[in-house]
Amino acid sequence: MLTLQGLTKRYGEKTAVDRLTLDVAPGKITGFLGPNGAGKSTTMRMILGLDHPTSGTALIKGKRYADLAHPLREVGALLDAKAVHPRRTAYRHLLAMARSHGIGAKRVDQVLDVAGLGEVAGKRAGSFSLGMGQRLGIAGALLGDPEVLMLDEPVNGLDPDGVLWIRNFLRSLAAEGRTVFVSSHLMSEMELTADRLIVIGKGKLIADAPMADILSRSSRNSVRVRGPEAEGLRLLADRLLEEAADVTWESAGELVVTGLSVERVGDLAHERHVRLHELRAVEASLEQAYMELTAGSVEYGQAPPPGPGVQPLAYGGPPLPYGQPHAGQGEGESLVV
Amino acid sequence: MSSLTTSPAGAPRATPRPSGGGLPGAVAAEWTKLWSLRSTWYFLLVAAAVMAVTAGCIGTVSHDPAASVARPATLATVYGVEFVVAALAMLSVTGEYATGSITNTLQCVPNRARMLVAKSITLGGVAFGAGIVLAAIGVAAGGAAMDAGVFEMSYVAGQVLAIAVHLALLSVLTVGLAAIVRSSAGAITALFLLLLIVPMILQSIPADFFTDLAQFLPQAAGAQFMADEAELYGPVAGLLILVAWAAAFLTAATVVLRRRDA
Repeated sequence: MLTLQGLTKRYGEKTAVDRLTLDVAPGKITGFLGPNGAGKSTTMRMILGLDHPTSGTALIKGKRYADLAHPLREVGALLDAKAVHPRRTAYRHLLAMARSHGIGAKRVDQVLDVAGLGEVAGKRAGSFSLGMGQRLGIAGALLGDPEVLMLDEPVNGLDPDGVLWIRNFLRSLAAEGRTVFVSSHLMSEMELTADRLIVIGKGKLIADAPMADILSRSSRNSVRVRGPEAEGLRLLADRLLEEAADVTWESAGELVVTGLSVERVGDLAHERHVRLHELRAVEASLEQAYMELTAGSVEYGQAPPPGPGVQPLAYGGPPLPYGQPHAGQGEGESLVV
Repeated sequence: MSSLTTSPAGAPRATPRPSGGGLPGAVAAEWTKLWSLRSTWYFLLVAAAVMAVTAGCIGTVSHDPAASVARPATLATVYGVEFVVAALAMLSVTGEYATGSITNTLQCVPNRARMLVAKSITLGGVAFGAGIVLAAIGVAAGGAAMDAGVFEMSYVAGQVLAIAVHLALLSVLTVGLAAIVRSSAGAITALFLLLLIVPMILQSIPADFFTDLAQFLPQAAGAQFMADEAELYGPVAGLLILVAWAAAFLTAATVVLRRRDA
């Protein structure tokens, strides 16, 4: 269980992490998503006590990392797969880690096998590919059999096989009741892996919600309506506009409605006695939802993302607080979904 | 390495009740890391070669029949061997910063003071052990090269011990200095400044204060500690001054590491 309380990191003028307050709960995979430079790695480094917060705290089961008696038994972390002495063998690297905690050499063999590195244990880490380096980092994270696992971009450099392995692996770790905190800038990967999403942009919390919520609240969730009678559809469109939905004409016989549920659109069509040939909910992908969320908070981006995501989240319900969090206002609170 | 079906965290959970760790664990980890790099052996072999050659050369030009056979070894330590041994201590820190593995070290041992003390114990201990062997090599090479010299067992044994202690303390000092500086190039520069350049500059200033000041720098203190007679303040004070220097660098390094982002 990780608890961040107003966690802030400033480098001179630049704020890398801005008042992050959040909990990462056990038993599920929490995705930590944000564009490059959003502050994901800095946040993780502060959790591990590598970087000092300018203000705020990052606690593991109520304790600072530096105060843990056996940190590797509490938190297994993979930050940078290349942060291994290249001339040390994988086995010796892990053995040194194990000895720092009085963990036996048997456990080293075990985690090497789990990570699929059993056959290259005697090879120098410098000869490893990025994917093998990631596996070595994961082996190191597992060494102390920790309750909290924190992985920074673990699928980086893995082949599709390895990506699948990580995904299943993280699921089983979460299923064992562990806290799994995984960062990524690959939304497609998170969509398949994470149960909960924490999205940050420019160091600020943009969203902290279950995956399903984030997807369902996306403005890209739309309803496609097709019918044979143009007049009827026009009536329906007028009615939909009264409900504050967004209506776009795809063609004379086809509407795309955003901001209303498919059930509501169907009911309204029924109420107006409009004949329909198609009524279908189109679900946004996480990628689209993410683009909307992070619009305006991309550190190194060029243009705003295409499409209506720029003036986002036109949906029927109450206004979503994460819609325009970066209009430059100083108030950073209440950005949480 | 691809097809993986193994269950996650790897079968049985590790020892249920955490034990181990602490300073002994940190030392064990440093020990493992030190001896898992081939460069450690290279440094010690180079140190042995430097000792044999330098002590031999000094021995051939020593014509004082009253001089101890240990004298060339002592001089060779101050003018050559100590830099090789210090470089080994330095690399145990700067090598980790250069490769980024310092983050791994601090993940395992987040307590900065404990990490530095563990490195100091390990590198100091290795320098002490190696120092005994190196000093013995120096005595043998130097003594053989001298045309006349005094061999008194207890005195030679004391000198061998002093050389080992000097190398150990210098290693501890270097661990602290390297942790402050972080880069190899910077640490080497700082070490040469501290041991050679600054004393030279101080002694070239025609004022007693600066000349005296130079006598209290680590290099002069070490030389005093290993010297056979009390030239200035004697071996005991020399040892204490050297200990103070090592402690000061280690303390400064702890303060810096606690404040600085890794």
